[in-house]
Amino acid sequence: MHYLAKKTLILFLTLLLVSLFTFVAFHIIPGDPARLILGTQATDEKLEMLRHQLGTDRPLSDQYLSWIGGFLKGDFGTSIRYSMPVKNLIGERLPVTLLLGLISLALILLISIPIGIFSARVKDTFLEQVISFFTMAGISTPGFFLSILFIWIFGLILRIFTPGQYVSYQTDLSGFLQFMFFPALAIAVPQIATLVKYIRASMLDELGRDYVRTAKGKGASLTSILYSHVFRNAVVSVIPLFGMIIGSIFSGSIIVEQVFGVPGIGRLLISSVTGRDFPLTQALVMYVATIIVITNFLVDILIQVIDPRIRLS
Amino acid sequence: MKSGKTEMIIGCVLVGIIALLAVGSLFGTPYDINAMDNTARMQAPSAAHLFGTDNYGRDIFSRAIVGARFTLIVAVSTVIGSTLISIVLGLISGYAGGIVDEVIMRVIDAVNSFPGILIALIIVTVMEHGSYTIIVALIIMFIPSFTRIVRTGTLQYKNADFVRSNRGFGDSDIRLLLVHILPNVFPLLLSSIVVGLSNAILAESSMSYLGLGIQPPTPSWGRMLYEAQSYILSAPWMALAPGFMIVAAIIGLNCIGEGIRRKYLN
Repeated sequence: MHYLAKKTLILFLTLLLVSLFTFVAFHIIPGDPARLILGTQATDEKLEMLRHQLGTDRPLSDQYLSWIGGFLKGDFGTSIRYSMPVKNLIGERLPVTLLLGLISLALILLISIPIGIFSARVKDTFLEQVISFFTMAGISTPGFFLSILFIWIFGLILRIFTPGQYVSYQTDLSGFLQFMFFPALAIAVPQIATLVKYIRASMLDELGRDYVRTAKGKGASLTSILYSHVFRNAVVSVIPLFGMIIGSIFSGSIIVEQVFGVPGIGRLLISSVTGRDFPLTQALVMYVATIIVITNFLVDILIQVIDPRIRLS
Repeated sequence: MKSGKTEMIIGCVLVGIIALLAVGSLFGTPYDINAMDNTARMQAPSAAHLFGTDNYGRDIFSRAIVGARFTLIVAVSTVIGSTLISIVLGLISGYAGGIVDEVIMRVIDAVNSFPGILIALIIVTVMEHGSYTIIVALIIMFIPSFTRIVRTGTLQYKNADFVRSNRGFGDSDIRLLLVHILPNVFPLLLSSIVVGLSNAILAESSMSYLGLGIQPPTPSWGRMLYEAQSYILSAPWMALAPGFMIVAAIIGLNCIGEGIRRKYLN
């Protein structure tokens, strides 16, 4: 349990540093945040009021402690633009982003694992070249360009979904899924491409192992070796990438939500940045970073449970 | 294929063409990039307008190559900046070890736990919206991964025989780091630097798409795509030209990175 204790300690340390960074970043703003928000025309009274509302008239240590204390209690502060608790704003949009992320994750796993295995199987053939061309293209196409292409081809030409017409999951689940499929795919494609490359490499690596030679010697066919032995090890090798994948899905959704007009956390974040809604941006950054740090922590623990060999290294 | 030669050639050709166009744009463009022409709105690509024109009648080819210039400036300065900072941090962290190493690495880990785009968004939020804010944002975004590589390399070489013997000859730590360790560590960083360039282009164009990167009227690929989005059905070339230039630049750089990696691995 030494490992778990160390990991937990690092988790709390990282969260502490993340909160300090976020806080410091938003409090070394050159100039007065109140003035930045209200502009140069603002009256002194209004500035004073906003400073008080933001708490920037109090000492920094006070501000940090009350911010982080509130955060731990689930009070993320108040948005200036929406004049609403950040908690409510997140609450409305979180399910949308989570569902988008889940669909995306499902697509990533369902597509990349079979193609990765297949591309190891067709090693040194024309098909492998085709797959590696597509993985290269997938890795190199920015999510927003892919989204625009999807809107153009599948939305406007083929009319599979109506661009810009978000359908709420509460009113029409199948309409929602139909609308969300392409944003999810746009987020998934670069990850699929990365994973196919990775899975292929780890499959080829596994195929060179002694146990594969033994299985071959016993007369097992390549297919049965691939699916009954190599596959499991290859899947295990993907698990450490989970933390990265989750992070990338989120990063991808920030932009893709914007292109498709999906009312999720990503869109809220961008609008808070462009609208200079500092308390909202700060809270969202902390919130998202916390989710990602904790996910990474859980993935590390999960790897331990599934593959104890890693503990030794 | 093993030696990565094919990748190298494809990569160099793609990057070479884009770099040439970007440099060429310094000496003039076929049309003024901001000249609006009401008689030539949204024209399809033709001999007169290689990539067509946009909704204001501006020449897309001219805008795209000037956009290439600014994108490359941002990407190159980002990578130079983050490489220099990472070399200092990584050498210190790996060489000093102990508490110094622990502190630097914990901070790096914490920065790394923010997704890259989140870091860029924070910096853009808290800094004045200048044209070069995006460079600062991207530099900070790349420091963690580069620093890790330099640190790993430093750890690998700091007790190598040739370093020990030079230490025995009385070389100072600084000399050991800069003259003996750094030249060996740098090749490890090289392919990451090239891939870093492609990531910088990706990040810059994403931020410009969101309106948080290079500010208009300076043309940028990301912003051109944003403006093209509403006209995608009637004038798809408006989006396809900058879009495929981004893809070509990234594919080219990734190919070069892959080529370098294979060369040094084999």
